[in-house]
Amino acid sequence: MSDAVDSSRERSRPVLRVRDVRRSFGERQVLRGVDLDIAPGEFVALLGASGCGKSTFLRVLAGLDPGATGTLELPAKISVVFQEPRLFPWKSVRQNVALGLPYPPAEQLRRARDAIAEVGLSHRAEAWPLTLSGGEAQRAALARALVREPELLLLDEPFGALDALTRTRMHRLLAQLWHRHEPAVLLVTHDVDEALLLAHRVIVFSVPEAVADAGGDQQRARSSASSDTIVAELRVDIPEPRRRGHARFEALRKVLLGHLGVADDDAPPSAPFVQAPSSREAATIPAD
Amino acid sequence: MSDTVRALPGATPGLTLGRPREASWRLHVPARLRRAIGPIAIVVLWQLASSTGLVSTRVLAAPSTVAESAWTLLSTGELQNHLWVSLGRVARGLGIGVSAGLALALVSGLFRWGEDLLDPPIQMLRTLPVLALVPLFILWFGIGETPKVALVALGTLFPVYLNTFAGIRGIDNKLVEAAATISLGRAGLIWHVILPGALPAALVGLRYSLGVAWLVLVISEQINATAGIGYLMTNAREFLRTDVIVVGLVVYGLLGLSTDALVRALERRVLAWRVAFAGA
Repeated sequence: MSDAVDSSRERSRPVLRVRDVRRSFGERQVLRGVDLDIAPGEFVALLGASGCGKSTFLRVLAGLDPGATGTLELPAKISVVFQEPRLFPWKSVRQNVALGLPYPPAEQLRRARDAIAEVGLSHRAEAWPLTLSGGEAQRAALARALVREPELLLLDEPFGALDALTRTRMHRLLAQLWHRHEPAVLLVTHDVDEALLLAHRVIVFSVPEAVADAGGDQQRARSSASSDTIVAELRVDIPEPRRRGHARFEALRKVLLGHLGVADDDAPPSAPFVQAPSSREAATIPAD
Repeated sequence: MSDTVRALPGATPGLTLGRPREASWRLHVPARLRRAIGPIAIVVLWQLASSTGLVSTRVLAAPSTVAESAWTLLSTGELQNHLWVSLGRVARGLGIGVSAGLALALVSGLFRWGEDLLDPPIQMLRTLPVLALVPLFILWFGIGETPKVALVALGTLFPVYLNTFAGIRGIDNKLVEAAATISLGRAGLIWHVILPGALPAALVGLRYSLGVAWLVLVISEQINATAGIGYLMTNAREFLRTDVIVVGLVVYGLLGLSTDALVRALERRVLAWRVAFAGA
């Protein structure tokens, strides 16, 4: 993305602005004061290991977690795509996509058909969800999310349950859809390559320190101005079309893997990253 | 074993891959016919027992006699009248019982305060044997139609309540979350997610209720009735007409079967979206 586009985005009002989001599960502080702004049309990827709170954070933004605190300035129209398609099995694909649209039925149908065509599922529009393959079901879920013309699209590891081939196709599809509709996007993923292929900006969450550090450290954390949930944030300035093997791609990949605690040689391309186990990690229970 | 399949050298003798063992009789006989084999066999054996004198006609009339009496009752229109009365009672009782069961299950299932309020008394009442309430109901409602319909209603309420409640609480919360993310609102959630999601379980409750309805009706129609299949049977008992009694039983049986078949047909239509185990 060019600098001119970036700066014009920054000047306009952010689509999402959250400050000091905190969420604890009992003694475990999973989100320790997260601040985030997302500009209109910006694609942000949220990377992190299991248990770092990235899914928790997304759920807070989606309004699914009332136990969090902080200031949330969110747009009116938010759509969410989860790791499972979560289609209603008793409704056809078309009915699922059209559900809840604030238009008269004929208009609902037209928009649903268009959205389904966009994700390439027209031939399965009347199918029952349980008869769809994983990739097809996720495409239906994407259609359902985008038909609402959201200002913000939240994606929680949407391609995590898909095979590698389908995942590649879905990356392309998501990029296409995003170019056409231009919502702001927050993509939660553990896949570094996915983040680098799609996002303008990548944020890395850290795994919260083990429970053993509670007490004195908690005091310190609360009084500190900046949160320690976000461990890194970088702008993805890989020129289009982005491709693995490109020098800048590989460089950023190395940086991100470093923040995630993985040496580059350990992680083959597009593999879900594997964090070297330490005694601390073993003690924490994944929050995702 | 077909010619195109050969065992590999060194393979265990006798362990060959051929066509899977076909239940060929299953492939050629339609389902309805298959399911009729059992009942038909029973009737055949019964006729044999009666004709050979193994079973005295005073104990149990032969199927041939039963058929004759049935024909007589049908031609005079007597059977139809009684049948219509019985059906009416079941329909009214079911209507009340199923609606009440559904409504209570919705309140209980959708709201925690509903469950706290309604579930304990319902569970208490459920354990009361419905048929033991007959004298009480007669005392309260007289000897007309009301106690009969009320008994059916009470008997059919609990299976529908229990199963629908379980269906509602069994809905995957992930779907409820998905509904929230498409801004479905409470009414939309209930109509588009909760009710269809609870429907499979509710239909099981309905089938159960149907069985209870006929059972309760049989008993309540034998007490202070002036019409209905049960009355027909009680009357026949006075005159030792075992054939008419059997006609009554057969009618009840057929009614039970056909109403169950109706619900099954409804299930097949309404639950067509399920991809579930359909039997080997």
